[in-house]
Amino acid sequence: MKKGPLKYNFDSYYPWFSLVIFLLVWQLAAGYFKIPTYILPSPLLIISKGIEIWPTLLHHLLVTVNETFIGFVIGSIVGSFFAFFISYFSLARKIFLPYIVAFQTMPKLGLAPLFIIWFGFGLFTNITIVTSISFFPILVNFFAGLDQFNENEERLMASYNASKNQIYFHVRLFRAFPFLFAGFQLGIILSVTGAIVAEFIAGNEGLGYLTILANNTLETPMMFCALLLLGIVGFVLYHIVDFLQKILMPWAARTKTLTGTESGL
Amino acid sequence: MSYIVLKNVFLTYNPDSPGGGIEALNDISFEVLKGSFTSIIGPSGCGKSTLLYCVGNLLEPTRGSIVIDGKRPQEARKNRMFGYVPQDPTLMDWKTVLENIALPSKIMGIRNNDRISELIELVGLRGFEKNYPRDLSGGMKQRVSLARALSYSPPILLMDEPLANLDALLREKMNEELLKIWKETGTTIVLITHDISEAVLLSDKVVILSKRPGTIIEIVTIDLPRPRSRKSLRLPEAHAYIDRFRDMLSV
Repeated sequence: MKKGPLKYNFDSYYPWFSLVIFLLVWQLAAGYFKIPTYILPSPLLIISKGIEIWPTLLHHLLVTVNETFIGFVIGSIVGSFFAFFISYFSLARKIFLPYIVAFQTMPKLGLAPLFIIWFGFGLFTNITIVTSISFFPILVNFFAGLDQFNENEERLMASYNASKNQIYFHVRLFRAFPFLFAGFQLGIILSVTGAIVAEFIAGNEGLGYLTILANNTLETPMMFCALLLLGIVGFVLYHIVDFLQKILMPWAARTKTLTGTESGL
Repeated sequence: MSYIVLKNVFLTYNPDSPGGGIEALNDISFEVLKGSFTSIIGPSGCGKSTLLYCVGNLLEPTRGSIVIDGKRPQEARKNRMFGYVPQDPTLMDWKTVLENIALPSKIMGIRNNDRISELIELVGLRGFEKNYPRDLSGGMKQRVSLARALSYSPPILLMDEPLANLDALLREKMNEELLKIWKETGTTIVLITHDISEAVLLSDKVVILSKRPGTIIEIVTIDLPRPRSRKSLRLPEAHAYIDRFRDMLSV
């Protein structure tokens, strides 16, 4: 992507052109080849369906957003504090770090059926699933950030005879911020995934539940509506995190995240 | 009266490693008078920075003793006697120029430090107080770093090639500024540099180190009249010193 003072250059319109052409081809092909709507409904049909059932969609959308948001916030708070805890206290690190490394590779969604046994069906279970899936990337990223050792900075702080507390609150915490936000960005995407899967298996509400319902009744247009909304939810939540990062880190012109992507201000 | 005394200081990095580690300093002994200006010159990689870390208690010598004003280096560091100006300016990206300069005061609990405003003026950063380091040039960052070290008026300044990134003109100006600050504050300065004429211009005493492992080739007292300015370097005596040092280091 081009960088420069001209932020909205012509290049940024290309994706919109291709989108319009793609939808046009889809619309025409659906009519021309007479594809059954339960296999591939046309874009116009999906839109009209969406308008028709909008109150229902909105209800399920809010349920999913609610679960995602609450689960993510709890996961973020717990994950961040735990990362700080094991970074700050070396004994805690010795005790917990091996488990974190071991659990990191485990697919957390596999725990979902267990949560259902423990907590039954409903909002609480779904939030627990979202929390458990968003917790780890935030913990691991923030810990990695806090654990960076910048020799120059540590030496400088030592020359001031700074305490461990001062080193953490003037240097390490700030140095770890980009990592924390990289964790948030991974976490929010996983949270949406977690919410949907939770609804697939344990929901009676939400966009994930609606998708399964549409699946059972071959209501493919409704399924497309639900999927489209899910895509929008993920996109919006991700960019809220991105926006927060820019507000909270005014000093960072460009920040490299763990995933290697660059988010320019 | 000797203010900083080094006696037979040795330092080996990773002495327990199979190869016996890397010997950085070999039998370093010299003394620094209170309020004097001492430069340490030598080829790169000779252990100049290592030597400075040892004086500032940022690194423990393997053997030998260092005494700062009758105290152990650790006590001196705890009493915040050192103003350390690192080679890399090491500004905190998340703090503004003003916050960076105020960082030591904040850590040391010095409130309403009037010196900070004076120093911003002195290093020519008025108007940039609210900028973040990313907006500054290399030279400006170095000046922030210098102001930060001076902000708590430490009795000893340990400077690790702080002017290395400045262009020649600015460097001359900063050197004269440094002489002025030194005269005003009576600070004892230990400066590391690889610039021979800079060392001659500024110093009372120049310690010349050899290639790794750093040993002292010679300690030379610079007998040029004070106050000095860049014009002092035109004196024939100054040329004599510069030539002599160049010969020693080119071996």
